[in-house]
Amino acid sequence: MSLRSETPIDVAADVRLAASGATVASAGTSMTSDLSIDEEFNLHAIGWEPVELVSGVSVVSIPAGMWNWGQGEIAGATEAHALAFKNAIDRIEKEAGAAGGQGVVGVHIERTVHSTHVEISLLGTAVRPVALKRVELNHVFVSDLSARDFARLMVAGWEPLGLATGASFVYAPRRSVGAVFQQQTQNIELTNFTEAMYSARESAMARMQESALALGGTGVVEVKVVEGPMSFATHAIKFVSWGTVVRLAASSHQLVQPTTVVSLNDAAVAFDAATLE
Amino acid sequence: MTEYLMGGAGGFAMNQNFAPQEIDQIVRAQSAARSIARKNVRDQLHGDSLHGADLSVMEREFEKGDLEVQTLLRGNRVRRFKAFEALPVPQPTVRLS
Repeated sequence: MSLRSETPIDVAADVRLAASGATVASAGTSMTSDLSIDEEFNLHAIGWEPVELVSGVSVVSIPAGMWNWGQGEIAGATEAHALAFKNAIDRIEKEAGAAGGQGVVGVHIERTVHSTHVEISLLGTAVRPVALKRVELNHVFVSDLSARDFARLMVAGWEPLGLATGASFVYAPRRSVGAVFQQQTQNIELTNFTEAMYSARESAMARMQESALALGGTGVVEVKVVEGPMSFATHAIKFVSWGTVVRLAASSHQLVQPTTVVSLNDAAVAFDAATLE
Repeated sequence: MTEYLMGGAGGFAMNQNFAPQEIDQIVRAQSAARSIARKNVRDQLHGDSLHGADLSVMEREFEKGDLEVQTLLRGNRVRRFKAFEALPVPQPTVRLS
């Protein structure tokens, strides 16, 4: 069995084709997936199968001078983050649809905020029902749920609709010189940071909820949150949240009784085996 | 890839645009690198499957403004040789620990 390609690789042609936005090659009968074997079998258990590893990338510039002095929300950074997320999601959806997938599960999200730009990279496995005849391109979903959680969700009568995201970057205004001197010997709350954090959180969560409603969802699950100052802008607070939008697809929620598990892999040794007689 | 280039819409030209903009060159390079890695893997599979794939992306600026994107995709090539029975539907669990 030869692992080497039998066809010569024309990198230049591939780059041109890939850069044009078209799929480099049809998936054919080969399947690539970052799912574990267990996860693939879990998918098969609910009548779905993995199709292809798909990705979506976006890099958006942040206009110069955004991180300096100011008050309120840093609109340029917030817009850049939202645009990067939207473009990356659009691209991974498009790739999944082109590969014959009806959705993407287990999406890994890598996001980096620099002073000059925002990078968002999504990577996941396109999946589809085994019996699917034709992909509905308008209904390709993207979800960061694992394949196992996706299977559980479907069994309970719910379906994922897409990724909801919300971000906000807010200035934490510097204290006046007088206030700094007055407070330097006191343990006192830095209300500028507290207020900036609250403001960023409120805006980001509201945006995430708005994007969930726009997808027709009734909830967001597996929400992740990243917050705090940035190394290059210590007087700016970021708050970013994202999660999978879900809605009840069945007529009613299907109760799935959880199983109680007692782990026997406790790392702490409660007794020394050598002392046993 | 320099700070100036990554700033994209920044600068002090008369026609400056303060709206965030996508940096097309980098997006195309990043997308193409991932696409080509997957295509090369598919070419080796000959109908088999790749499981547990891991995609790592590295980028470096080897000259001022020239960005190189390296993508490495690896996983386990597997072949189905008989029909399998799917695992039972996963059940939710509550862990007591």
